[in-house]
Amino acid sequence: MQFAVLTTDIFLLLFIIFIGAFVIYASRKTYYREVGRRIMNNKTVLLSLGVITLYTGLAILDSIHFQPAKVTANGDVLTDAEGTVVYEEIRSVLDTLMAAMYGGVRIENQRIVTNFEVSYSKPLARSAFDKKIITDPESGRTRLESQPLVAPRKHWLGTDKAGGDIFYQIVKGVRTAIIVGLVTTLIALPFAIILGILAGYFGGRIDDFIQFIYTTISSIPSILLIVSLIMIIDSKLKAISVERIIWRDDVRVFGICCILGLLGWAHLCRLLRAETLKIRELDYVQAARSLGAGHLSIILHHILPNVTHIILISFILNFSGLVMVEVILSYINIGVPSTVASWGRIIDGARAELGRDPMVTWPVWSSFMAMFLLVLAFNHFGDVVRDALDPRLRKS
Amino acid sequence: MWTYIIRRILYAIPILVCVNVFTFALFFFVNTPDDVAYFVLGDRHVKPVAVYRWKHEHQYHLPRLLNLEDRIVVFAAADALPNVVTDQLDGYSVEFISLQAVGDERRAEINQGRIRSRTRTIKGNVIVVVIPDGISAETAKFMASEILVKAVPFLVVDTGSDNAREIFPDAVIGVIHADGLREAVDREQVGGLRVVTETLFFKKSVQLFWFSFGKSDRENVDIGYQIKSRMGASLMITVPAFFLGLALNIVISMIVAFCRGSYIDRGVLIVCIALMSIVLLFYIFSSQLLFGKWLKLFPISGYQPGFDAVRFILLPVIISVFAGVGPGVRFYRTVFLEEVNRDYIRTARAKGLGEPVVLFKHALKNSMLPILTNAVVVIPTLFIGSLLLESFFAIPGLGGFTLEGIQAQDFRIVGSMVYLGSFLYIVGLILTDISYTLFDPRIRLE
Repeated sequence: MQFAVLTTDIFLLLFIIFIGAFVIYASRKTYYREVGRRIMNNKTVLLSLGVITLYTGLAILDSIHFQPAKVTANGDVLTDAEGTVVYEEIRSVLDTLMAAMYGGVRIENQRIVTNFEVSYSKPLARSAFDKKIITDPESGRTRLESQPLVAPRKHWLGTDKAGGDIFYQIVKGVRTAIIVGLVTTLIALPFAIILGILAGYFGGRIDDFIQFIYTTISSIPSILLIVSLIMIIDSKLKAISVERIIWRDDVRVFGICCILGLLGWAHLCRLLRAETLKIRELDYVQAARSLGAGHLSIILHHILPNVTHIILISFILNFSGLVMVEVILSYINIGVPSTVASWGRIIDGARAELGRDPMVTWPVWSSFMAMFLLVLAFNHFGDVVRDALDPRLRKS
Repeated sequence: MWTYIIRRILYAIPILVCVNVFTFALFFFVNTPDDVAYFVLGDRHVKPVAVYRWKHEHQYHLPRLLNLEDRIVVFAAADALPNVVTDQLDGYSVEFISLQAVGDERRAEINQGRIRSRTRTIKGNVIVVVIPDGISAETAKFMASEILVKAVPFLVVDTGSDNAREIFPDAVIGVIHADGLREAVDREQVGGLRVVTETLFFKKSVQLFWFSFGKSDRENVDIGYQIKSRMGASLMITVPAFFLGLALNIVISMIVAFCRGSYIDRGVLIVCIALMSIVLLFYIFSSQLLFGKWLKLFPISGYQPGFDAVRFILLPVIISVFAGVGPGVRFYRTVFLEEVNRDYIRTARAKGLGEPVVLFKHALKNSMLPILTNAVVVIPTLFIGSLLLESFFAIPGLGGFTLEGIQAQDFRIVGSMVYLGSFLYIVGLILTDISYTLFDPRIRLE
């Protein structure tokens, strides 16, 4: 067995470490302990935190990729002519767990699939959704008969057109949603923080220039700019043929995150600039300056800690927006590549089937529900954090 | 006040120029015209001649910024050459390319599309393509196209060879006798203003300033005409939705601010968070199912111009108002709450004014600035319409047009809409600044 590390895996794990470090740092400060206590006062926030932890946990499990060695029928490790070990396709820990749940895996097109049914079946159904015409060999009469499933009552959310398990796809979609939300933020944060504080702290020409940049960026309709950038990435990527599709597709997901991140810092930058402008004039900053503190030291010790709450709040509230953007992009066929599971893709795939009678609606509802839970949890958590952190709101 | 408005407008111009240059860089440097051609024509198995033809038809063959390296291609039959041409074109750097120089093997490779483009650089100002006798038009086409793809051709002068016309019917501007060659080349020589205007930057980007959008990459649709004719349908949805939504949001959030801290306040906030967490797609799906399919109150999708349109736009309008309630109410509520805690409100109450008067007369007037900041920017972008709503309800508006462009991966349509969108946004910013003059006495009385 050997580990395989994709680009987005690295960034996701980096971010988790980053958050962990912040939690440890915060738990040693009295102020943040007080904030934490205030957050925990709200009992419903525990629910939201539970949902967020569950989703993040699934995403982390799905981000640890490895390749097991191929094994021959009698249990030996398969080697090629030169004696090197032959590996199977890349899979994640989550894939292995889910495969164990279904009792078998099939690998097709370099990804793990679970379509072992023929076509649609309702959630937890015993038999297939479409009935088959059976001709009785004796009387010659035809009748409709429902076909039993390979795994009856095991598809919790039913199966799709190709017989793929919806629950598996939904769970796989979690990683994509979380990746897009977190990696994008990780890319956008440095721009927003550095430029926002610089503009607010130094003012003058630097401020004018940074303001000009973010006004320009925010004046371009973001969804169209994202779409055109993704189209450009596509036309470049098409020319490259890579041996492993999974690598290329992962790079593309990462590219989407980069684009969203590079376009997404303007709003936070504006907030940070305004707040820094205010803080710059406060007495303690003036005092620090008159004591001879340098610019860097003032920014790091007096300004950054006092804008942290804005960064935190906007990160949490932006996250839910990013998840929705990813779904809409995938829905209009411009988002993540077709080999990467995504809720938007499930919706897109099921949309055509809404016209048929009887309707197939369960794939759509399941992915809406999965998304709603995650976004609601983040929105609610963000709200509570804001109430706990924002001194202005606390007073009133 | 006027100096203020003029200053604001002047401030907007560099942003617009910057957007224009930025999108140009994006669409023509990061993504080269060759990329677009190969992308549109389908990937690998494209013959160079098709690329040439496509680029020429869509004016993508022009140089990007400055048209200095104009090249004139002269097709010449073997018997007209070479000393006649050389005499005529004294002073130009002439490069002769004989079509026979390309071997059969290479031709086969080109034919199968295995070679993407020729690496050889052409240095001459005037390229004379010698077409020998007895070469078939088909063969000549292949070989010449390879040269032309690289050569940025402007003029194909035919000095007597019958083949030339067959090879590039669009490009050949005329058959010229060898004696008239000098005159013709001088005439077609790019100079003066044309150095700037005969470029991609001018044709594809600068012309956007006066809304000349050109034709789309794939279907050759006139984008400007499409925008003009589809704007109406978009406005039919966005304008009522905008005003209804604004009024509804303000009324709800005033009521909530009126009974702040009560159960109604908390209940509305919870509902708002839930509404915010639902993606627009869900609203569209479920309402189409519920009202269109099961209750049959509205047609599921479609559009008719004129008064009949009401039937079709009602559902999209309701959806877009509904989807905006969550974030809208939350935003306006914080705006009102900030005002409600001010001293002048307390004074008004102390004077004995009733709560409705305090809210609608005092608080609303003073909350006008944040409300305007939030609302006026949106007004010009109403022209663009909504991508998802229009595509789902089959409404022939601009949003649907853009989505079609995106799905066909038509760079020209997307590029035009990017420019139009940012133009309208900037107009919105200016309108916001102007609207401040109505409500902010600090600006009005300056």
